[in-house]
Amino acid sequence: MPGTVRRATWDRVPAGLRSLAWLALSLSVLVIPVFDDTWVRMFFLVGLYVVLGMGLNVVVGFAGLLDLGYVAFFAAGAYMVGIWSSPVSPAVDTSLSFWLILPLALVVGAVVGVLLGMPVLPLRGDYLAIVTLGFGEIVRILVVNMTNVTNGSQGLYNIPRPDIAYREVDNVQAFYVMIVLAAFGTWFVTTRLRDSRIGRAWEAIREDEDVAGAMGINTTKYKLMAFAIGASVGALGGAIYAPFITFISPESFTLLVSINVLALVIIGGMGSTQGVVAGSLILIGIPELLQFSETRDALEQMGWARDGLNGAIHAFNTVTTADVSDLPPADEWGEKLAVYRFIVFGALLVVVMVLRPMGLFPSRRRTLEFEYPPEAEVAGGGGGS
Amino acid sequence: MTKRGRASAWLWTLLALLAIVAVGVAACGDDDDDDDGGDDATKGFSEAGYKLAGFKEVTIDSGAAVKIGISSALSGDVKGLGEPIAIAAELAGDGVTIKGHKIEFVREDDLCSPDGGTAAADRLAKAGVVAVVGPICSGATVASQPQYEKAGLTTISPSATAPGNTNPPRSEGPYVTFFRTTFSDAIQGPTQAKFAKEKLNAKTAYIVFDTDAYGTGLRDAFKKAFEDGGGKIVGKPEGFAKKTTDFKSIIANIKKEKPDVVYFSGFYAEATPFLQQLRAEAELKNTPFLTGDGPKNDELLKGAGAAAEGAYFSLPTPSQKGAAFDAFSKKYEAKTKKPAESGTYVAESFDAATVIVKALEKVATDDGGKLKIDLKKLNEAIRDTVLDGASGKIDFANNGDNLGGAETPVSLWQVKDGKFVEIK
Amino acid sequence: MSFWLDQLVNGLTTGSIYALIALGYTMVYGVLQLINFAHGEVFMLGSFAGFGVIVAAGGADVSGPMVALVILLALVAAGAASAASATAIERLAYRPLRNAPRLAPLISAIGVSVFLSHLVDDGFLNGEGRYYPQVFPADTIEIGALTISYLQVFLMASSVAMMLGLSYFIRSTRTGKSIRAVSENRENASLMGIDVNRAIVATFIIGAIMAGFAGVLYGLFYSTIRGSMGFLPGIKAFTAAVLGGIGSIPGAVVGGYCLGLTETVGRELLNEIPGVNLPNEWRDVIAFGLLVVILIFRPTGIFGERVSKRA
Repeated sequence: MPGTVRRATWDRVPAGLRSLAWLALSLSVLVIPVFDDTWVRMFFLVGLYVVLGMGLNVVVGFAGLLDLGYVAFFAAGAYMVGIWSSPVSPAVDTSLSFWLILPLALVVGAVVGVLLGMPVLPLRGDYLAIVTLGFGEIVRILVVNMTNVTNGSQGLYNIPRPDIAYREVDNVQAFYVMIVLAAFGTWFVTTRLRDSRIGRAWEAIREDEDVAGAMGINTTKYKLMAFAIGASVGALGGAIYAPFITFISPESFTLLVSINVLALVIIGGMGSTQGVVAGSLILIGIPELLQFSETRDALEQMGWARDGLNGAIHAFNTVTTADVSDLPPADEWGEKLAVYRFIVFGALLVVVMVLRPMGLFPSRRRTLEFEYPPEAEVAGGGGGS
Repeated sequence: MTKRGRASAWLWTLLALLAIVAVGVAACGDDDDDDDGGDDATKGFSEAGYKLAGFKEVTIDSGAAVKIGISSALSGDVKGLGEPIAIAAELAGDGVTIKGHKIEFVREDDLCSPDGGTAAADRLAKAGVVAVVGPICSGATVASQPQYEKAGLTTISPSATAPGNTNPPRSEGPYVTFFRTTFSDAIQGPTQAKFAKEKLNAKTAYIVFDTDAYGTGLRDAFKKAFEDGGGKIVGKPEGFAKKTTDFKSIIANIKKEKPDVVYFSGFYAEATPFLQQLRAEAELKNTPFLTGDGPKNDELLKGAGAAAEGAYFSLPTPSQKGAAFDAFSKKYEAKTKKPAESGTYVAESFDAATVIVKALEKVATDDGGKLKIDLKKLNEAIRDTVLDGASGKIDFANNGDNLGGAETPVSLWQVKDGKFVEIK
Repeated sequence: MSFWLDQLVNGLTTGSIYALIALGYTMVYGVLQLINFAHGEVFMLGSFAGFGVIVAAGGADVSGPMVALVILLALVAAGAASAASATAIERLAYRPLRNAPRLAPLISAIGVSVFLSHLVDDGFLNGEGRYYPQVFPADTIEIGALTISYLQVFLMASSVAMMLGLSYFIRSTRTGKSIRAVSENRENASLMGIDVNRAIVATFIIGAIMAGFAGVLYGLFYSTIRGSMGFLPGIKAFTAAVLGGIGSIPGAVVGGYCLGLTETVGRELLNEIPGVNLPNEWRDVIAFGLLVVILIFRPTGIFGERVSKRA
């Protein structure tokens, strides 16, 4: 329906109420540290993905460069910290302070971003996606094979926790505060960038690169800048993640991380900060929640559901001569659900997309853009950006 | 895109590709240098080691059970090893009470991976266990040792054989919280090398290995012993990642080198397709295939079928017999309907759990219905335990290695008519 | 010499499988401009369907002329299962998003992929793999310095036959023509009276049959199958499709073989350089490296049309 501007449900809430709600939400992050460690840990991970999501948003949301290899930058940051501070790091004997490595990691992240960005400058759209995906895999395979730097698939362990005032930070709460600060920092920097001259240049490139170039925008420079900033934020996330988890190995840096980050950006609604937070809560929070002992306890009460489903399985077995085993007793459901969390994750992605193709909190400008059916674009040779 | 932009993109790609190749040269050129010392059982351990461990005192409420953790592969590609090991460990707690408290085993899935090992360690510490059987794989062990040390939880692995587990690359010496009832690959490797040379008359060997801690550790031990004995390793080092299924390219290289024996250090999930693809080559149909404990598993026999016929295996386990083994075997068979001989490391796992239970009996004190367990005392009691176990004598060295083995702590096996048969 | 011939054959074998999967990617991309990330899982489901048939027929005990029948049945079952699942995926996860922003169906596709691979892995198999029974006679043919197994001959010959069949279908049948029309311009095709939905479903089904077929060949040849098995071949096949020029059917085939050869023969060639030793895992690095280089030369792939830079 071109022309009719349909406002998202959220936008129909009065403005005063809306800002009040956001204020309450923002303040609520301060309350979280009083919860149980398990919860704080979950919110740390959500926060981590908020940081990563905002970083990727610069590349995908602002500049329109579809990047499926974001994990490379996350890994770069984590491995910077691992290599320079883990006692088992084969190449480096000394153990530097976290606070010294952190800025280095940001710089290295940016450099990696530019290096990987350079060769893909002429590529667009899906070609860019597959090449960046390839880069993500290449970085992972390099990490596996450079045994004398990264310790290969055996990983780097015993990564020391950072010191604050000569005391080792040893609790989840401190890490949570750290990630919240990092998130606010990233939010501040990226929104300032978006609203600046640079941001407008990105937007022009996203809308039509050729026209942007013709208007005198140095597309090479601005695209590389987007890669560098996005990568730097990714490295920041990695650098905080490494001492939190104290053990890193190539297994932690698979394509699934890239997919997670991209998915939460899009599910949240591309280009919006609330969207990134909501996306992380859903895609990172819920699967983590499934691993909680509280969830297990609640599921133990569900024995009645088991009998019904077992009946269905028996019927299926007789019809297809398959050998699907019975459902486990209800007290094992929690454990099972923890195992099945990726199945839930996949289903969530589909359901959210089908129900809200523009994401949960589409940025208002985007909403207007998407009011026009994209066929017009497709007919023009395959849909851009 | 401007012409200049295209040209610079080119330059960068070229540089990036050069860098990749350069890194490849650097990374793989000295792939073999990263071995770690041998089996120096007495090295390094000191009282200072105890100070690193975060031992606590645990109180168990009256009526509550004493929890012992199990970190094993309960799903995934190593489940065929991990499941029987977990079952065997649990048998040790059957009907046993510690001053009126029952024993409860808490299973955590470590997937046999470093990532899984650290996650399982976290969860076990949170679950309030007093000691742990496992982790069953060296990769998971190496990664999780620091966490167990910090938590003051003593772990006894029935199957983590990598030499580095009891000889970690750090100045503080071995982890006081780590023990194993099996034997180091520093013993398994030389036995394999000797067997290859004397029984298989092999002068050249081709090595294919899993890149994890277990695969590389065993590879180094075998390689050193084989070369010291005058043998020659042919071909380039061929590492593979877990879940690899396409070995054809590696096998073409093996065909080119025509080795006297193909040596494989890894697990059964990869050994199965490897064997099938190896035996599909007419020229390699009869080349002896020698491997260690990781692939010795019923799953391999099931999966590889005829391709497994004639393959050789070594197992860091003495020939199992004696009263303790029979008693365990009866329990195991009653539970699983399978003979204990068919399981790999099941007797070791039963012994590991038994050592923990016996030590608990010694150190747990009753405090008005509540049970108090000093984890440091528990660790010391485990260290002092001498046991005539199902898998042989258990007697821990200072670094956590088992000194108690018989003369020949490694047994050798061959697949004949679809079954593992011990070679005497 | 025979070493290089061996590696050549290995490259062609992998290439055949990539090419068969890549066809599905490229055709779907042609009609919908969608990277069908779930295509690797369609391949996986086909492989499991074929596995089910072979096991039900007696597994490794099947012998004699029965082998041919069992394998044929396995291929049919795989094609059917793949086609059915692809149709369901299109219906549930893609069709509702036909007019949504471009990235929405992509995420939905990724969701389907994660869902299916973990459903099989975690839901049914507990993370373990399954092994195809070795039903195919293990004999080899010797041609000069080259030894090649019957299985490899069968694999390559049948893939080529499938591709020829496909090209006939696309070129000469009504459905094939409607698919081409839709991928040319969906709106105009619809104005010409072509049932666009039908053409799209047909595209998914044909691509899926190819993938299911490839799944059985993969299982017969590499033996291990698991829920996540579709991931890497899927990514590689998509790489092959992009390499050949996405949307182009001959491009997918050429791209597939190119990729297969580069990662096997290419790795060995690099290893000939003194001091270089790239382990087996580097094949992925080499494959993606090739992709980057080709795309810089020709940003639209080998057979890609140069009409628009926007892909």
